[in-house]
Amino acid sequence: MRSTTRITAILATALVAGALTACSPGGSSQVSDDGTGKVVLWYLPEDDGATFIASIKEAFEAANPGTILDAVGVPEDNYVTKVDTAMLANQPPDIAFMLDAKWIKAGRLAPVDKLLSDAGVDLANWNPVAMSSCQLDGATYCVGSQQFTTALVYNKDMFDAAGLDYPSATEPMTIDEFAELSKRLTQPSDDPAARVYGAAISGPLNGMTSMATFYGEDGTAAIGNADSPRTAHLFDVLAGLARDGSITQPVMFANKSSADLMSAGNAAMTIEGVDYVGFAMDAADRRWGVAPPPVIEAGDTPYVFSGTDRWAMLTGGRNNLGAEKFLSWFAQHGGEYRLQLDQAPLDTTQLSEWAEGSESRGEMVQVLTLATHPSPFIPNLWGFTGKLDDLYIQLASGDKTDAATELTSLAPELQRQLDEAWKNWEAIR
Amino acid sequence: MAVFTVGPIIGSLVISFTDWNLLSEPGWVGLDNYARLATDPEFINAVNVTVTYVIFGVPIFQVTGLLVALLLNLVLPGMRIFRTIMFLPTVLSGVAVAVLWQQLLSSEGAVNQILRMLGIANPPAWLTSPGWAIPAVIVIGVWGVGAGAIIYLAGLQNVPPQLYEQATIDGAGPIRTFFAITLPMLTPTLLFTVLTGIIGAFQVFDMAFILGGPKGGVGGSLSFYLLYVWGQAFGNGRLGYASALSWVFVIACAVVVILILRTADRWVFDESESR
Repeated sequence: MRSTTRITAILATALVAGALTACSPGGSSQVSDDGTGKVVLWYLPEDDGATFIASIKEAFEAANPGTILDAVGVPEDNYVTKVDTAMLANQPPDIAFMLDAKWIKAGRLAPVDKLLSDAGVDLANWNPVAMSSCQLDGATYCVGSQQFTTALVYNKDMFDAAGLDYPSATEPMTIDEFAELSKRLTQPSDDPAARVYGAAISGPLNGMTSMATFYGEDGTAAIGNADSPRTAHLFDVLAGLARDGSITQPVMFANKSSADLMSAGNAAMTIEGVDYVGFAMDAADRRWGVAPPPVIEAGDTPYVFSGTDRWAMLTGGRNNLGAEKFLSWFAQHGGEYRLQLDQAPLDTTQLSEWAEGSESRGEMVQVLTLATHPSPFIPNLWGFTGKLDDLYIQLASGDKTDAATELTSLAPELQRQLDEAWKNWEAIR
Repeated sequence: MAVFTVGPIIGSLVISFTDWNLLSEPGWVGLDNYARLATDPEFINAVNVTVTYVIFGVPIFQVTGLLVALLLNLVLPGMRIFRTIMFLPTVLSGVAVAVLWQQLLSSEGAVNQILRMLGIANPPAWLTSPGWAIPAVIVIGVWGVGAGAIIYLAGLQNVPPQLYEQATIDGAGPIRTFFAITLPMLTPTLLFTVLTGIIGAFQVFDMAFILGGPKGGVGGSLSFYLLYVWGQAFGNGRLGYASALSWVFVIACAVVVILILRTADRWVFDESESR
């Protein structure tokens, strides 16, 4: 009898504890009428995510007494699933890093245009390519603070040694001119440590060209774009360079990054995140410059990829007023804290301060003036476009040789998956 | 028990008849998810990759495991240390093993360096050439046959020594003894290791994920079935389709296991029947 009572007591306690836990799990916050209390924010702790959040948490709380920013680092590996699950349980955080556009389509993120306007933010000053990932159908759903840009980074000393002019920071070269330059900068050697590649390039997809090249301006047509003569030319030129050793083989990037190769003096150029490579070049005390990535043909609109951090307010959060308060404060002050961390702010009016005293950064600011044409939005893009990367790896290794034939054969499958991605996107309600 | 085991099983069956994507209300689609399998080239590729690995990998692992067990069964100095070394890979985490081999099999990794020293100018691109990816995973699997070998070793040490004495008196050589005594007496062990080996081969996930990434390697060459299921569920948000894939997988595995068990009485030695 006593044991029955004990079991009943344990079960009752467990039920009560479970009920309490369900009411206030880790991701929830206190309901507030005036925005005070806890504002739960989920962020990606990788790279310097935690450092940045720590720097703004203190400042935000000081500027907003009574409001606590409860920042929770959720690793990127399972971040989307965690947020999906939290939404499903109606226990989302108040603010989250926006990693998947389907949350916008599902109506889980609140538009922030009015909030930005009330905060006095002029969106025209924010990098439009970077902000495109926050926008859908003309509305803005997230707020950024930094811009990280992919461009052509080159080693100035290697250009000087080869007697070559530096690439223009405002006029992109063509892919054929890039190929010629790569060949002239290459210094073959049997000793891998002494070898110099003209360029460290992982493939044609990583910031080299807009996705419009492969899927059209509206992101719906692989057939006619992925298999076009222009695309085949891009693949042929790059794969030919990789085969003759003028640029890196893509498989090399399993062990080394382009920043490693550039800072060690094993590559003269790369197309990569400028912050990332520039930091490594500065650390290795190498002179570097920035130029826009090459275009496929002369006269093409240059494509400069820029990304940003994307903070969004989730519908169904417990402290909407607090979340609005945070986003409003962040939109006005986030850039200042990026500057404190020596990172490029999203607001282009702050870039001159960031670039002051650095010739390389000055060139990057010039390159950023070309960041005006975003890549088209394509749902679940990285779920299927890796097939183009796979093909490039095989062309670069010599397993396959004719890009035009291979792309023609691949395009229908890409189209099938693209159609399916759009169908699934439309099914999100 | 029922809530945490039977509940999700029934739940996944129900979900397999819906178009649930985690975010929207699930809609009933009947057998659409199952019908779609026949026209999904990536599903067919995942089946091909997995079945190829099972067909080639499992026999190689069994034969290698048995050969290692026969070696370990010899009475030689230092054999205990050798047994420990053979068993060591088994106790390592699958992720750690995959990361280790990823380094070893990379284009400039130790394996290719050794092959170049041996005069092979263009060694295989193990993990980035579709034709070499499955052989690479099998090579890694062979490195971990220690667990199977230990089970075979236990089986070998249970063979009554008087049977070998009788065979020697009858003039049987080592090969004849192996096929007439050792192998038949090992068939119960063989049944166990084959069954667990096949089930394990069907369940490859972490190795494929580390070596080929979440998309299943170059050209889908490492798109093992469970990796594909995971990608559909959490990469593409198709929980309904992923549930249908899971049910097809469970049924296919069950059919293979039942077929092996059904034929077992024809080739597995049952000591109780011989008495």
